[in-house]
Amino acid sequence: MEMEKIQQLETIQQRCIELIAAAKKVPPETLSPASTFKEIGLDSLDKVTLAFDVEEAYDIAIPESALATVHTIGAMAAAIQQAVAAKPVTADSQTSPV
Amino acid sequence: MRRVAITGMGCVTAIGIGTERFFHALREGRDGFLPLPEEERVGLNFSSTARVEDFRPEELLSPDQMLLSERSSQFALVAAHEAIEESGMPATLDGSRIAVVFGCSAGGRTAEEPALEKLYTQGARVHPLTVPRAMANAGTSLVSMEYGITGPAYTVSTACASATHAIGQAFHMVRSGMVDAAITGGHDAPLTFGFLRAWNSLRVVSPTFSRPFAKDRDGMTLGEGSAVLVLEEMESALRRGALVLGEIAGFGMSSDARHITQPAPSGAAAAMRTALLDCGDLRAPVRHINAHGTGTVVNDGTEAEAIHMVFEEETGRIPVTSTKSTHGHAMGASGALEAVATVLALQHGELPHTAHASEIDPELALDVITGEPRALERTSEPVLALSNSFAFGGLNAVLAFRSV
Repeated sequence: MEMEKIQQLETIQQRCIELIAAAKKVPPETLSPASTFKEIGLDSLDKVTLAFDVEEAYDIAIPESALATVHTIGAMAAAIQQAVAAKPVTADSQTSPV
Repeated sequence: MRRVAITGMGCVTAIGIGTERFFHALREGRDGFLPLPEEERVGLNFSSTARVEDFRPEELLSPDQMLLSERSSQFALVAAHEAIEESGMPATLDGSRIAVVFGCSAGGRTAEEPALEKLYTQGARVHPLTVPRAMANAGTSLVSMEYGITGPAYTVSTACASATHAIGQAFHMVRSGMVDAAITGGHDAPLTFGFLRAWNSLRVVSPTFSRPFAKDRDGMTLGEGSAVLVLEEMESALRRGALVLGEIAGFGMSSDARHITQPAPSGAAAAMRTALLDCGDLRAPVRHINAHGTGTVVNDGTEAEAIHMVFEEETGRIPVTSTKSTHGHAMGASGALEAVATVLALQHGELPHTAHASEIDPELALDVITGEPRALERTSEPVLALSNSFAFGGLNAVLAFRSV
């Protein structure tokens, strides 16, 4: 994977960790890309709420099929990266928070 | 027959948060009608609502509860907290033997309307918590979750009679032995942009202020809020040393089966008669009616006719009031606010007056309490007070409270 893509994924992972830490009221340092939603106590409602928050933040749409297989922070970040890449390039996307 | 005690009450209303402030405002006849901000009046024929001011749910509710709720169910959680605290209900009580039954008419509009406005005007996404926040049963669910109540729990929706139907159902469940206790009442927060305009179009909202039974009455004042009562089987409540605030003696309901908005006196009368019959051995003379009394020409006329049909020559001996003249018409929560007002009136021996109604419509031929509260006619025997709720759709519900 090119360096730029790796850096992008790490930034997204960090953003997911911050969002989940805030939602579940846990210190961000206790979370990592390998953390599973089950370990964190993220239930299905938390998961769809997280998906909504990241869709808003990145102005993307994560397909149901992709979200269904996401069970870790790392997988969530990868799904976001994929959705960002699939997004048509517009003037707006140049200033997206990635 | 098992008897049903009221051991705790709580409320969030336009005239006060907490039953003490609520009762104080009722005694003073102080209304909670507040002018709408100028920019919110566009397209409305009225300019004030009975809004709950200084409501700070975050002081009592957890961040998780705040996230999952909107204004209507937050009202319910706060009112339930006060009622359960007052009841001193032990936490050791078996949660599966307790019911939660609330009335809610409008649902969680403060969550739904802004989300849909953004959807329709900006094509915005709708937040996934919109459904759990906006569902009409959110208040019931959040209260059952907060107190670990695992018995029967549901929400009744019968427009303006919702809470009275809910309390009546809860009362019957406790009386029959289906449960030992119930948390019941109603909640509604319908003062949203769209809902105000929908009511405006019905032309039943007063352009000035609600003055039920007045000769010059010209409509209702829309309101919001919640009230919650804790019901317990009388003997067990007394055994545990609970303070009994009041007693529900009977409940009656009926349907007009006639018109979707216009009430029929026969239906209202049937509900009052059924409530009195339901009192059985607890039947006593009726010495007060907290009327549905919306302040519309049609409702107050029909309700007066119904009272005459039931009480005939006794009608003149029954002081009637409409506390909607102070707390406004809190929609699905109204019956609960009025139930609390009625219990407080019996408890203190002081019947609240109908505010703003200086000249009572002589055609109604009712003894409407005006100007100041009136002392309850005391006898050595208990007396009854009725609380009437008559909903759009012709659905009628009446509770009979007994003095203790």
